[in-house]
Amino acid sequence: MPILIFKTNIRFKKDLKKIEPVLNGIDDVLKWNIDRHDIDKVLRIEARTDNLEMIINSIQQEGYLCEELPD
Amino acid sequence: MRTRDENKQQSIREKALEMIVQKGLDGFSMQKLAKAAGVSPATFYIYYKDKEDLIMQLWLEETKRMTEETLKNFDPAMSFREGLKVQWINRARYCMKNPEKMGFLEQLRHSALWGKSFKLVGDDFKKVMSQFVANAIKNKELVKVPVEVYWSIAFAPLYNLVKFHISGGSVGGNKFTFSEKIMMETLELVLKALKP
Repeated sequence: MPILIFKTNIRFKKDLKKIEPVLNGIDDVLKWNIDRHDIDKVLRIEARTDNLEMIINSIQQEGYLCEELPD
Repeated sequence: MRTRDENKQQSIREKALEMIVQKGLDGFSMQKLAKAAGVSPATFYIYYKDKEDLIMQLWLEETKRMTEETLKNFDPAMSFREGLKVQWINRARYCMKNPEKMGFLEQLRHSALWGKSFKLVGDDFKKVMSQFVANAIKNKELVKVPVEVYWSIAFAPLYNLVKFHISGGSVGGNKFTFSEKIMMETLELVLKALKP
């Protein structure tokens, strides 16, 4: 099962609330969480797909930064 | 897509334990830990959801190991004297073999995560201990006191001696070496204190 890791700027609870329905609405996203204590506000997704583009676009459409966190 | 690597995970575990023992639970960030373990922050997140998830997983593994060690050759039906002796020997052996892990559990014991962590571990260990204590009270071998008082008298003296030994110094900077003889002498005093 692919695990996808992104850097975001999802900092506050209100940001989380906006993102929640977006991620919950993507069928290929099985589980997700955001570590808001980390400087990179890391979004971690357990997914059925490794289609990064689709996820990045959905979050960027809400006005947030979202990019793959490189190794 | 990313793949798991058992060596990387092991390295993260070891570094995390080291950092927690040295700097406390609040003294490290994912970024610092990843750097120390020689992995990227992104790699860290393959294995763990966040810092709390890492601490909880470490705690679970270690508690399992510690409780297994503590229950070796132990039977809750033993007399109080015999049962406590077996536990002291087991607990001392575990701590002397794993001083850094004892430090880790100690850090957690005094944090807000302690309560949470107990919900994750099964209550087998707790059941065995409760049964042992209940038997001892019934057989008039043990005074009935709140569990915190019982623990503080029954086990804290042992852990304190071990800590003196590990840190290399005791009260007033004296040198202290833990030995079986000292352990047994202390156990006698503890047994005396806990008599009804």
